[in-house]
Amino acid sequence: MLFYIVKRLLVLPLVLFLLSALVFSLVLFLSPYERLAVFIPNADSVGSNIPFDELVERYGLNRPFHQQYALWLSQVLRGNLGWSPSARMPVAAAIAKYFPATVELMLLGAVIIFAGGIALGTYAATHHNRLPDQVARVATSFGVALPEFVFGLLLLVVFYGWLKLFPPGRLSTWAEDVVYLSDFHRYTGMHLIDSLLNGRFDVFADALRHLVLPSIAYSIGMLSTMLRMMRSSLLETLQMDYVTTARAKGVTERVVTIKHARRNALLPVVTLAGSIVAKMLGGAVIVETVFNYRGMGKFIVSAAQGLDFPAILGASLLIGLIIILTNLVIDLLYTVLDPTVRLE
Amino acid sequence: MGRTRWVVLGILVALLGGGAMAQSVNSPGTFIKATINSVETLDPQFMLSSATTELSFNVYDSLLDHPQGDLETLIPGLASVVPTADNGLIVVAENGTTYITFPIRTGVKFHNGAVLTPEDVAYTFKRALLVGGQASSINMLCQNLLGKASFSDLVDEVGYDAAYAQLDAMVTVADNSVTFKLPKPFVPFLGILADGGSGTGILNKAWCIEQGCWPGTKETGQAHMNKTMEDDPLFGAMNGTGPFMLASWEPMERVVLERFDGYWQGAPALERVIRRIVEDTQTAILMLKNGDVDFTTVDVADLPQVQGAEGVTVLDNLPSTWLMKINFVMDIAANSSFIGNGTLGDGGIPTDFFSDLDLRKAFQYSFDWDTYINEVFLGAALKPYGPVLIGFPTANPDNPQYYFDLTKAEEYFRKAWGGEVWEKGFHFTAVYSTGSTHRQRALEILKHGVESLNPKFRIDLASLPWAAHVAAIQNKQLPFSLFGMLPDVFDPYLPLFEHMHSAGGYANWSGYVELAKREFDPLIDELGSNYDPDRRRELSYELQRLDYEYSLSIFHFQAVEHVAMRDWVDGYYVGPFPFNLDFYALSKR
Repeated sequence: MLFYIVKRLLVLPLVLFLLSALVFSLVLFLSPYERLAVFIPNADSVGSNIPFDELVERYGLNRPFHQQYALWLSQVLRGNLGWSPSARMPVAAAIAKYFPATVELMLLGAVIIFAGGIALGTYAATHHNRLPDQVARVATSFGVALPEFVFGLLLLVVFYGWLKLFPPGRLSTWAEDVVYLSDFHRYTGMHLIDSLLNGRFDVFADALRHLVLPSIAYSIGMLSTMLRMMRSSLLETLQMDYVTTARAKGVTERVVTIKHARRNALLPVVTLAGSIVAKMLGGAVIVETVFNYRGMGKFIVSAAQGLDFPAILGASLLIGLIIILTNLVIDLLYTVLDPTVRLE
Repeated sequence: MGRTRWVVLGILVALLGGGAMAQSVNSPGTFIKATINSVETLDPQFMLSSATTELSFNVYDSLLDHPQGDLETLIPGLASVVPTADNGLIVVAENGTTYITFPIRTGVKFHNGAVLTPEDVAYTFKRALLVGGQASSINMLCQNLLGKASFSDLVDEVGYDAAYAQLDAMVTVADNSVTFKLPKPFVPFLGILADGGSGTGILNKAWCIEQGCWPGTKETGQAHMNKTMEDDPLFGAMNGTGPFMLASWEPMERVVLERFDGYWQGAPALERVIRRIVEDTQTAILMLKNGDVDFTTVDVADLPQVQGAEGVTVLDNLPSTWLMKINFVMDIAANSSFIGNGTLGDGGIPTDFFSDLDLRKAFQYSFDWDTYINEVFLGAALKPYGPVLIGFPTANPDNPQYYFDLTKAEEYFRKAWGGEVWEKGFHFTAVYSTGSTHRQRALEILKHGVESLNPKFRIDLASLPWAAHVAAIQNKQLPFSLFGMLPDVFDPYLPLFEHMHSAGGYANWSGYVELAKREFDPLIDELGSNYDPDRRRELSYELQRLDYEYSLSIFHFQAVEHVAMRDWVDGYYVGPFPFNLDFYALSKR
């Protein structure tokens, strides 16, 4: 297995190189002047303080593709992903700021999706065609069909507007003052973890309170999908001969379901989980906008709208890395769940 | 299992109890504004958006100022006296060279404790021009102090040594005063220096140099020319003389200002101001109703949500200084992909299509203002008089106006290009910026009006991302450019210069530089140099009339703004930018 992991990781730089070259080449479909337009920050402005011709020269935007790419790559290898005008900070700093926010949202959302999806899917499958199963089927139809922004706004109106329980944003004002203006150490950029490491349980509670609604809004569609996948996979597995044999040997239904059937039913669920994780780590612009929770989704969309190519390239590399690593973890999980699977 | 239940219960109490506690907290000393507009830089000389200049307005001071809400009167700011000809502080030589002297107020402190000196003032303006400051007031000053759009243009023309000599002579220091030397009289000059700390906020020279800015010498000047945002040492730092000082800036999230107790006009009532980015208006409205923010702007469609809401005061239909126009481009680039085959007919339009006056007038009469303002703004917008904004000095309500009249439109279409337009038709693509509803609807309404007259008239619509849209405008790719004006100095010269002067932006982008030089420049130059208010009014009226005669643009709306705030907010007054706040005037009951 170790050899397999090393082999997969060795391919990683090659894949990222090809990905970056592909994205970079797409960028070059735009003229140098269009690529400079990111220096026009807003709708009130029509120019830069520096003539466009000079900016084109300064940033080498009229050089051949291989020269521009080599220049960019040499900077990246030194850890410099460039400056993001749309984020008002270096690309690396922007990713370091927004990625932890997305990871926090993903972690809480993942708990909801995976724990909830697997548990509820199991329950629905083991109560096939009875009330719990029927409720699950109807509810998941709504969950999949309901747009995130509609559900998110509903949650906000009810739980914040009426009940004043879960406010938008990442932190309350007082907690932001603690995090940004005091001697609070930001180790990871994730407020949940950093607050515990700083011994500030009040900030932890505040951060958690702010995560509740966006993670629910974010998860509802994927929870529904996960639940359905678990249910159908388990239903299929419960029909297998070895399950019938186990029952015939007198094994309790609970043990049959959890120990024998569910483990095998998890294989397609794990595949789905991998794609869900990769998707979540790319951010959720709608949820982030509604709940004023700025993460990778808003960062990437702002960069795309503003033709902020350093940010687009940096985000592409990150997303590519996430997908590759996620797929590797999924492949390794297969061997855990099903020892008959061999890694090649 | 029992212990687990207690842990879960504890977390729930913390979550919900935290919620309950937050509702009872209401910091009287902290004012929180929710805004969609993020700050692009903290350097006042590079601030571009009107929303961002709110920051420098409250952190920096300028030499002059206006009384609250009165933009026609000048009062001393960091200068102790308003220069006039009567008090001898404005001297116009026989050759037109104008010397304006500002005695500098003494005992004024910067936020870092340094004391204001005339050298700070001189450094501020020299630095602004040398580094290529982008604030509109800086651009105006450069044009009128150095005679060029930028210092680097001057360097290109005369060389660095000569350009620096001119820069150095532009402002001199003597006897606790600063004297500006203008090549010719420039009437808006004092108004520009009264922007309340926006673009012309005074910097502390020593502090700037400590941050890595230009040291103020000729030898080091070239290395500091044409700074980009990421290279600007003042990108993330502020140190002014204003009532508030910068506490922190988390880009795209919030800016926190704290009270400056040493402010020369007395400490403000508020202890802290937080300018928080909230990009969804529904979220901002909910936060306002819950008291988590004190102020926000509201779109007209959202007004019913806040009007009558408990604890919320709404001010609607406040005139602002944002004017939008559809500009005819009279010399479209030959490689434009929006003009079809480049010849008049059902396949395209020629590059000089809009150089025909009758054609431009035909388009004017094809635009349905009433439908546009009612549909897009639910009636909450103004039909402009012309290039001088409503509410500005010398704006002429009796200026001849175009109005929606398809009969007249047809009359002019039949005349356009000697009748060829009506006979052959035309086909081109009009472009708006992606996501800009007001631009899109403006073009849709214009398209509808035009196409209703003749089946051979075809206008397709397309969108471009904002950045690409601006690049296309700069490169004259678009038959129309939908761009407006947002003057932040209360003088008719600025919008008229921008719209009609050959050195203004629009003459170049829209292809009427020669026309401007011939017909408009002499009048605009006189408007800028003649102090006689009656003559200025005459000139302004004539220019507004000429704009109508030459039909340079369709002025399709001037915005009004709507704001909502909590009842406990005191001191808000309406300025030219209702969404920009004077935090010094505010308090919370």
